[in-house]
Amino acid sequence: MTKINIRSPFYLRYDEPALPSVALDCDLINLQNMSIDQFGNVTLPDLDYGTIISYTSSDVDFANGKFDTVVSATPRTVTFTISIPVNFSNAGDETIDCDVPFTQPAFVCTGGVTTSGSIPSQSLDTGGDSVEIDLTSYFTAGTDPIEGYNITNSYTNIVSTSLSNETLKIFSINRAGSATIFVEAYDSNEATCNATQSISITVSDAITYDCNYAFFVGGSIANDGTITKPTANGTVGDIKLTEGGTPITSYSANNTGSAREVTLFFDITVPSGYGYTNAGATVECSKTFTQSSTTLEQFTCRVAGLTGQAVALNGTIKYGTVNKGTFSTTTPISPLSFPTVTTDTERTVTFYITPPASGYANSGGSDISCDVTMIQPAPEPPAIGTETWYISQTNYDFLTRAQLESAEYTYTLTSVGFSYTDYYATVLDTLEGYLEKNGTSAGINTARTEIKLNDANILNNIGSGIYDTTSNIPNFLSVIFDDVYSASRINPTGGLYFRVNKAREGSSAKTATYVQANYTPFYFIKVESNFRISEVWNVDLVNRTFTKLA
Amino acid sequence: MAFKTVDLNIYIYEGTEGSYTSTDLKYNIQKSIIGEDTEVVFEISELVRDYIDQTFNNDYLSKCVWVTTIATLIDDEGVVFTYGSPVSTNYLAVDGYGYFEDEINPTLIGNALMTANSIYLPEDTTGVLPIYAAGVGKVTIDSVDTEITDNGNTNQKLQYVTIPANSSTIQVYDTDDSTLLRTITVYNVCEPKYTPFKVTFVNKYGVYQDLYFFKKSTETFNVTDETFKRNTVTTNSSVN
Repeated sequence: MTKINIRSPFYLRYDEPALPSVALDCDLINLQNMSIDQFGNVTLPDLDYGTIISYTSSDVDFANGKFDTVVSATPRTVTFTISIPVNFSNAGDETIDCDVPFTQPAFVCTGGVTTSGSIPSQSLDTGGDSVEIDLTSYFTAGTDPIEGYNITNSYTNIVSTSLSNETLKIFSINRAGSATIFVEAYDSNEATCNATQSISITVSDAITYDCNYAFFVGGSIANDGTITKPTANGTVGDIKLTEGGTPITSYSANNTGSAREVTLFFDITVPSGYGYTNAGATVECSKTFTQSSTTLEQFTCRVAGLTGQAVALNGTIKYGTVNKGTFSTTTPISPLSFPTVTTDTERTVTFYITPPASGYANSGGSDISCDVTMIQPAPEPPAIGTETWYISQTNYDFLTRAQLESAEYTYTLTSVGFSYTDYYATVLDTLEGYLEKNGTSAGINTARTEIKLNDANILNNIGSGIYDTTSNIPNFLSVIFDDVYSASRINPTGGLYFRVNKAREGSSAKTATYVQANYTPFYFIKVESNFRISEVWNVDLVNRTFTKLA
Repeated sequence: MAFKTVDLNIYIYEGTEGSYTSTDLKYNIQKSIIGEDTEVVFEISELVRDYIDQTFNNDYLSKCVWVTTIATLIDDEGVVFTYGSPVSTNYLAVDGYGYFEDEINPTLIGNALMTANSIYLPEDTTGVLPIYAAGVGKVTIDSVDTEITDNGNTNQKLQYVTIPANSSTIQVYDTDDSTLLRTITVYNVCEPKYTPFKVTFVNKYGVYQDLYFFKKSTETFNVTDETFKRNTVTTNSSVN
């Protein structure tokens, strides 16, 4: 009994229960519901553990699994041999005998079922051979019809039986020998007699033992070459390096620095009494072992065992896991991410793995690099819209100077400044820089190319795609986003800004003043390389104000 | 077949250990293994605490309850394990607590249920010594023995031994009556000017302990003052 102090937490912990380590005895087996009827037939008992292999009795009138009839009630003792499951501590004994007493009632019946001839002896081969017997031919009903049959089989290690209506099916098991089973027919009248027929069965060896029956378990080769034999179905004898070779007792030490596969051949003496035609013969079977190295293994990508790495739709890279070692905290993966794609694309990412602190030749050394090739999936193409918009094909990598700065491009404000003299502002194609440089007379191309979007409200088109009037990606966008020009696109996401208008604007380029005065409202949208809209801006071209709407 | 779920019945009752009935079933909780865990953990103190009712009228009653947990272990196919299940455990719950250094699931000492080895009483005043009856054989106060008996009932588990007025030494012995566990010194304080006031509180061992306030005290102690609303709604719930 434990005292709980309930003003502090008290935790109950439960984990998987341990298998019982007790020895199996007859009390645990708990044989019950065994009976012997007036004809001497034994009804097998139920049991909680193990399996009944056979049963017997020391009584002189017991033979082939049944007793003789008696004129007065007679105490009997039946001894059951029961297999011990592996979970019990005495499983090594394999079987245990348990006695069950029962009083056989006197034979008092009259009339009833009688036998008709005798059931012929049966011959089976080991390994699941079977025979079917129609029982109606061997029993004759009395006044009442035959209601069913009881099967008495005390040779369950040699044959098994099944009964389907009036058809008895007998199966062999992998053990040769002779068995006698009994079939008892009964009617619905308890006062009448049952009739019993015996069936003699001979099971002969029919299986030739080969390596498929060896069933090797365990065994090993230590790094110094010490061999531990596996266990098998049969006695494992000599060890050989080659089939038919000279017996050996050990193998060479593994000084290669890495584990290696070693195949050894073992002589197996075929066990007797299990239905093998070649019992006692020697069969040579091989088993392959992994021999570890006597020197420390190099920590490699194979040892690291990278799994679960992936590239997401948006191009971010999932680290996944490593089986051994850890992802480097000093060297990042390369590249850090990918732009989105329109078709499934193969990507290779270099991961850097820090070896475990010990246990490998390069423990404590430098990070190792491991390339992992993955497929970056392309998102499903966006829905095709029907709302007509017009777009100007002139595009900008950035709209504002702040965007340019946050992208950390190499330009120096102190030496160059962000003014009309700023060479980089022009090259980097920033709208704010372009307007600052050219003032209100800056030329602005009109939005005249018809496109289809999903919605008349520009703010509702975030995430949707851009199509032309034939439901295809507009050709000019395909050209702009073609890989040939990818190097000139410097926005970190790979996208570009375009001006769009719901109404079609006039022909030829206009000044910023004119566009602002005559084509308002218009918007700037950011189109990503997957042709989806990701941003919407409101821009005053004259006052050079930029407002992100979405 | 892997361990997956625990179906936990918690019985809380008074009387003798294991004497619970179906009406004493206060909680039925089901919880499964989470993620890669290998065990299922329940915290039961909060549940049990609702069933120790602390009321005090200078009567020094034994405030404790029996807790019997019966855990049925179930595998990932919903089948109850045929071995190692159910797991039945009895606990005696008291309204105590442990400090950080007492570590997880503190059980604390099991004899004289107070931390200090000194008691300050006003002169000519009797006192009480709280003890855990199952862990004490006898208490000797100034050579006078008091045998401690425990019939297993919750009303005898926590006992209060009367300290006669003007006693000086208390010795607490193990259940063999010979192993000395604690020696507690009684200081009888003369306070002719002020009226000492007795404060009785539930100490860390879950028993009532007296403390007199004179004009000056050298005792150092910590007090937890907490109020809560008892919640003993009878209902069924399932937690996964």
